[in-house]
Amino acid sequence: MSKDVKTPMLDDLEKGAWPSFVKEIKKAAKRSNTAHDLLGILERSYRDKVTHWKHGGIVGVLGYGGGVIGRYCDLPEEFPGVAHFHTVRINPPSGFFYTSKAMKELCDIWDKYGSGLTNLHGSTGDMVWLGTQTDKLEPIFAEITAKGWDLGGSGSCLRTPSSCVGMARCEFSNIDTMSICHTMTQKFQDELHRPAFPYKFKIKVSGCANDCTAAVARADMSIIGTWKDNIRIDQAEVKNLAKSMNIQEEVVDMCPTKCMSFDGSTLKINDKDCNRCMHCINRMPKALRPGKEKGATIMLGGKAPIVTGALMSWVLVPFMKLEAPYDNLEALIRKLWEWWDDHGKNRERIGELVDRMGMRSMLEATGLPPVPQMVKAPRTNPYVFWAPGEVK
Amino acid sequence: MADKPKRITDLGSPDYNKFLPPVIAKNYGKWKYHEYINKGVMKHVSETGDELYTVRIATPRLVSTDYIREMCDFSEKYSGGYLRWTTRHNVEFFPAKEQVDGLVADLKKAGHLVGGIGYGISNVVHTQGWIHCHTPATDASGVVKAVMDELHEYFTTKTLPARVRIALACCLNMCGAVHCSDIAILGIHRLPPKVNEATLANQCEIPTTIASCPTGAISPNPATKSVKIKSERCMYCGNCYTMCPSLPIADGTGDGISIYVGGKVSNARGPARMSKLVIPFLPNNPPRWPETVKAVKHLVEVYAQNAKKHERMGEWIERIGWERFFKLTGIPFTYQHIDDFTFARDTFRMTPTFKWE
Amino acid sequence: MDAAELQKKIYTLVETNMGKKKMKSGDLKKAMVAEGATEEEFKAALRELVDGGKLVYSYFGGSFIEVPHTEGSANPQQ
Ligand code: HEM
Ligand code: HEM
Ligand code: HEM
Ligand code: HEM
Ligand code: SF4
Ligand code: SF4
Ligand code: SF4
Ligand code: SF4
Repeated sequence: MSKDVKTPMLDDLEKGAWPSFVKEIKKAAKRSNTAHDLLGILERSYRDKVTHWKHGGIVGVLGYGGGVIGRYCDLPEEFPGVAHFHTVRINPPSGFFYTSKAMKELCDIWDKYGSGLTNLHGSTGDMVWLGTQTDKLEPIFAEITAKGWDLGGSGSCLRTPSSCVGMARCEFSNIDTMSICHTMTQKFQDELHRPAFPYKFKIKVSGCANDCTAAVARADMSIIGTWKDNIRIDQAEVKNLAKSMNIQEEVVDMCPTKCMSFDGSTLKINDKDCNRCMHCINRMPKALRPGKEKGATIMLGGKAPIVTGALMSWVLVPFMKLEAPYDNLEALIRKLWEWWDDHGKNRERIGELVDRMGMRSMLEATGLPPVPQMVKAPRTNPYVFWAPGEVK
Repeated sequence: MADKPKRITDLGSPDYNKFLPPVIAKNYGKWKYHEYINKGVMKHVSETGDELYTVRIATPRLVSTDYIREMCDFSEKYSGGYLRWTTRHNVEFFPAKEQVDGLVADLKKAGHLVGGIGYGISNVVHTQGWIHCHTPATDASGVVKAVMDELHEYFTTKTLPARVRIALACCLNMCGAVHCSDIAILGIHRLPPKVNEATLANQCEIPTTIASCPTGAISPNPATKSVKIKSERCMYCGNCYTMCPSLPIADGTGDGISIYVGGKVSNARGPARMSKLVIPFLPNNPPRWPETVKAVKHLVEVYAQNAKKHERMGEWIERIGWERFFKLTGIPFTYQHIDDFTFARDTFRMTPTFKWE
Repeated sequence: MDAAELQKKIYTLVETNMGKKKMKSGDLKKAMVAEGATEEEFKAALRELVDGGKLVYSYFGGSFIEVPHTEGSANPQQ
């Protein structure tokens, strides 16, 4: 352990109403050298305004290519407790429900082998255990697997899939998001632990167009629940709600497709024109519910800016029925991976490959038909390519 | 390896059914509607008539095992030993109706912030920063703490015209995918990496390093067995540093924060959209980042005064027009606001139709 | 292809490229398929090598397969 260092800047962040991460590090520092030296090196970063971490590429458990992020500090003599500061990603249960018993067991393991500090959760959705050393990795792995837990993904592989709370607690959900997420995680264990892709691949599942997992922005494959038939209306509840809200202004006037009307007692929806945006249902959950013919829109290609700029996912399949065991979804994902594997360059996300090769190459490889839902509008430019054989 | 016990691998994700509170397991897929009781409590009602109460509090995301054990104790006392984390780093408990008030009081007594439901500011999705990452241009936890110390009332009591989602990513890799948030706080570098010629040949593969640059700014420097960086081509993404540790990009003066606004992921009323740059640079000023705190607070307040009910920040700006947004907020418009990267032309205006006010 | 022979070929390919080009799992697969192995045979052989600790996965922006060694960042002297 480094000798006691003063941390005036961090101490300032113990004040204030919002929960303080500095208090958390200090709690852990009472027991752990690693947490103690984290305080010291973090204060140094606050003073220098730069990070003191170095990237490390070869740490992990035997046989897996992901789940551990190697990290070393650039001041190991001063802060030996964080000379090695690797993180371990643990695959959480879909929906992030826990029992206190399971959580406490995990805490016991982490207190034994690591800093006692975690992120709940990292942005991918894994439980992130911050700060341990290479020689602790196998013991951690043995103990978590004995309790039924496994590592999550990192590297050029399938990342830990995640979902919104869905049918467990949300009446809007058109698909069983937690079951889909869990089933895909289990089917693709090899792809998750043994990186064989050109780059990372993320799957996120949201039960409706509110998209609580931000799937459209954060996942290469975004699965978003929707419905095909009519919104279910409870007119008695509409009348009730009319007493406490302005249905005309807050709902009808804000409908993007102008397909609703309200005469003061009855709400009418022209479902042919509705594009199922969720606004009215969000506003009046007691009175309105999605229809009964439920499924999901499958979208492809979302990612953060690296390397060519941020992309949002676009439509691949406008409507897919999703019922356990979701073999149709699995088959589609495997076909996409095969095409990506054949053509993708190192660090090329699947969305970027579509940019480079064109939608047609991908559609032909997966057998998906071109449909109008894939585009905002057909092309305007006349530089249209024809395949040999199409010109007869 | 035959002498070792067989390792258990490929377990994947534990079965979530083991962790569902009984009322949720029973009413799975049968929820009918919900109501917000207040900013910290909501109620779901099932087709079976069962009710579920949820109480939500904010966490700092980076927590100790002591904290988790404390949450477990609350859950054992009030929630049958069940609890849930939200992906915005909140914790939820599921007390019986008559235990709601007791739980809320107990949580508050222990100093926790109960809230985050409905129209206001929920917890801030953020990344690692100086706590753990090698490429950050700013810290994550510290900036979030400083901003939310100022805005916590929007979590616990005050309401806004609609949800305001704040997210922070400490570099433009954007682990947190902040690019679709109402207010995105994004760490940026403004100087190209420095070439450490003494160590480069040893530490890095030159072809891989050159290939890592998306703008082709890196070329070989045979004289020193190292590389050169064409600074006018570099957009400070830090990609090369990930591939080659001898190209450090962090710089105390060059690094800082930029602010993007108006994104959302929900499709309600209109499609998901990305956040747009409004403040190109604010300095790193730890431990409290006063410039950033002031800017975020100002944006929230101008929005609160001007937006209509249910209008997300981006919808409000689109209604009033960007020219009016810059006038109302008093933020100066600069060269940096005009895109000059791959998709620039898409962002140029092609109509002579403006709002002058 | 014979499993032992395939493993040897994979190992040799990684070893001879060390310091020149980092090999990805996909690069190795393409090379072995070109030599007559099936994808399944390749996958099994690679898994065998990695489970036995002869090869390891590394991460530098993307995932690669390497011969185990102590890396630069882990070494305070560098
Ligand atoms: C070249 C691009 C990228 C590099 C070099 C990179 C690097 C890293 C590193 C080093 C970490 C570990 C942070 C830590 O724990 O210290 C990390 C974490 C993470 N990255 Fe990336 N990343 C890149 C792109 C992305 C993108 C595009 C996304 C999302 C769309 C992403 C999502 C994540 C997530 C979710 C984490 C977990 C961190 C957390 O929860 O705070 N990364 N990344
Ligand atoms: C527990 C179940 C949930 C219920 C009952 C629920 C309820 C609601 C309601 C009533 C709205 C409409 C409010 C509005 O229009 O802003 C809404 C909107 C939304 N919810 Fe939820 N929510 C739940 C969980 C979640 C979760 C877990 C997420 C995300 C992780 C989420 C994300 C959203 C989003 C993105 C919107 C859209 C806000 C907008 O753009 O207007 N919801 N939700
Ligand atoms: C299917 C492809 C297209 C066809 C068949 C087409 C055909 C034509 C024709 C016949 C004219 C009238 C010429 C004249 O009478 O002087 C015209 C005018 C024009 N086209 Fe196109 N065009 C095509 C695509 C485009 C595209 C992609 C653009 C630009 C984005 C474009 C921009 C224009 C413009 C600016 C004019 C002048 C319009 C005007 O005078 O009002 N055209 N085009
Ligand atoms: C501007 C866009 C966004 C909107 C409108 C939005 C809206 C919502 C809403 C309404 C909720 C419901 C729960 C609550 O009230 O706290 C929610 C939860 C959540 N949001 Fe977002 N969000 C947005 C962006 C993001 C982004 C960018 C991320 C991730 C980086 C994200 C991740 C989450 C997560 C993880 C939850 C909690 C999920 C859960 O409870 O399972 N959201 N969001
Ligand atoms: S995405 Fe839709 S179904 Fe899922 S939690 Fe959000 S509102 Fe509910
Ligand atoms: S779901 Fe959207 S488009 Fe459809 S009726 Fe409701 S508000 Fe209008
Ligand atoms: S956003 Fe950038 S700096 Fe921050 S944790 Fe992610 S990769 Fe690291
Ligand atoms: S920081 Fe990015 S743009 Fe600049 S040289 Fe490195 S890889 Fe190229």
